[in-house]
Amino acid sequence: MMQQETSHIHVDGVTKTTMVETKSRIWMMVALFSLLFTAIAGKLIFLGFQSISKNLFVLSRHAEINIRRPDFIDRNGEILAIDINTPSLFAEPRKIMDVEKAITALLRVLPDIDVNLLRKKLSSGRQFESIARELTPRIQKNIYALGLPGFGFETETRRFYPAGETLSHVVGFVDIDNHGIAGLEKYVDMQGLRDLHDAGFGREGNLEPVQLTIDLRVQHALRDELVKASQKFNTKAAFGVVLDARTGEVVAMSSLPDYDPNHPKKATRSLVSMGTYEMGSVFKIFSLALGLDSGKFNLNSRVDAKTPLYVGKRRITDFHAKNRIMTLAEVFKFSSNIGTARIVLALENGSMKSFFSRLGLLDIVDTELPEVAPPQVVKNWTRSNRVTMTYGHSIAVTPLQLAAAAVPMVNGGRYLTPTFLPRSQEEAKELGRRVISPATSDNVRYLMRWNVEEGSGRNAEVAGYRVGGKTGTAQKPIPGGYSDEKNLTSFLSAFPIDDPRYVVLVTLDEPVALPETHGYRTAGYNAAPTTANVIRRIAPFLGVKPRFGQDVAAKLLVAASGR
Amino acid sequence: MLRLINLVLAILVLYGAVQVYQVKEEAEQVADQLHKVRKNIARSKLDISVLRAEWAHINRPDRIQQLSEQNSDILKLAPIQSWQIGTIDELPYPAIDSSPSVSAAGGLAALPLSQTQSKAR
Repeated sequence: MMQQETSHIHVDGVTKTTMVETKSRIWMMVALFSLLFTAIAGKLIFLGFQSISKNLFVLSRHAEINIRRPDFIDRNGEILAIDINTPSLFAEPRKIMDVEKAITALLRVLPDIDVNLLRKKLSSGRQFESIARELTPRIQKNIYALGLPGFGFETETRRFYPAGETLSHVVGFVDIDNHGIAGLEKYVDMQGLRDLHDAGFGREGNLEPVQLTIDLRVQHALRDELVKASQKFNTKAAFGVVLDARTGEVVAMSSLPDYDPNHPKKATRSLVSMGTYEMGSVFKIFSLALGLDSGKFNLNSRVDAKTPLYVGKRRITDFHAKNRIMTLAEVFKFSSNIGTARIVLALENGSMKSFFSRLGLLDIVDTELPEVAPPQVVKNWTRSNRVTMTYGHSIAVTPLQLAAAAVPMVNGGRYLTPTFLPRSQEEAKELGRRVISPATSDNVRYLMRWNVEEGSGRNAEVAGYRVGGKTGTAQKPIPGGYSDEKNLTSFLSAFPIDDPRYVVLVTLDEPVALPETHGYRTAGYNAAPTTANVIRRIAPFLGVKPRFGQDVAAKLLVAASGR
Repeated sequence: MLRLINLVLAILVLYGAVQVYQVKEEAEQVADQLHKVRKNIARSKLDISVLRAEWAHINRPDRIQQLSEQNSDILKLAPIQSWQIGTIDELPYPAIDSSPSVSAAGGLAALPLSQTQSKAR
């Protein structure tokens, strides 16, 4: 019984144990499978959310050489500078079987390549060697046609200037890594583009284009006429500047000799903004404006130009000596050195210096262009130096600076820093610095017009466009004095002079006398007619309407006396 | 009971897996297309910039002037002169002539007259 009992209990215990064990095993399985399912579900969710577009933005191996620059466009939207992609040739020297054969073949397409360097590169056994950069699509085609193994092309960004030499000194150029190193290209880099590039941005080519104040048509016309003039008069250099008289914007600027910015190795200096010259009689515009603005003189003031003027050891004479007493207006018309000097000497000592300073003639021109030179002015403003300065000697300025100083003379009296970036008339009004009164500006415009109607500037007249201006024939400084043969001739003008829109400066360096100029080398026979040719061509582009049959000078005189 | 739950779960997991795989596959195809389109846009942009550069190069004033000078015998183009620009107001009013000989020729007579006048100016 006991045995049975025990046996029963035992059996019961065994069954119970088996049941408990089975249950726990089942639960273990459930847990295991749950875990497995959860893991699978988790993985699925993970896979579902994983970014599939990872491969979309793989950075190109050549990202570094693909620095993008903004396009440059002119005031009408014409392209002045643009990024284009060009093929560059590279070699994989390991894959090249016959180096000499490859060299002879390549020389047929690239005759300028350095053979020794090429041989060294091709036999280096390296994986990658750059052979030639910035090729044209045609050369690429020709190299493909050679069927050489171990050569390939990669695309690089290159700066292209469609207008070529027309705009060389203004836009400047870039180095082979597409960094701006001259002109406005350099300016854009200095404004932060370089930092952007160095930080690794600006490679995708979505930069806003930079609009310049240049009008490509005007720029071409100016340069074309300068080229013709410099060929005709066999000049050393020739400069031209067209400024908007209301805003100070540079509409065109040319400096010969120039270069093609697509081949910057032949780059020349921009003498129009880096060369300083004693500009001569064009300075009489400023000197007489100073006299008129002082209130001590008016157009009819009498000035003694009977005899040469002695200042210290210097003897001041006139080129077209009249040897009589003349009015201030006649001083301008006959370009009398004596008269101009006497007018300025009658004013306070410091007035000339502060006037020239307000005209921006004593400081470096503060414009976007990096290539600007400071003026060269004598240190001591002695009586003798002030006298020579009245007619543009003892002070050497850049042609751009001279043109900028003429802006307030004709626009009602406000100086505006020349700019290459768009400036509205409202902005110009705020920025403008008053230099002379509007009445003085009217009088100066009358003088400039009279000089074209009856004075030395007659050859600058263009029927209908009412040109006003002043000639300047400066003797060039040579060791020990001034040259009698070498001249710098300028014509500083504005049109239409009754409501000036544009200031035009044409300067020729060492023009020669021709039979048709009656043996003269003076500005009236070279710079003035060149200015006329320029204005005749650019006025229609600039929307200046011609008017006929009016006595412009007389009208200006009435306007001036009415103020 | 447990077996049923397991079965349902297994089926669900299988279904889910298939679905997710399909969606992922489709998305990848779309992404590939997007990639291609973007590449095409980038290439087209570069092509456009080359064409724009070429257009600007061919249209540069320098070359236009050269072509005009070379073909001057056909084109007969010359720089515009200031007297060629004017407004309607500046045109002389057509003269009204009552003489019978002119009125017989009709309104055409006015044309040569205005031409001679503008030349005289």
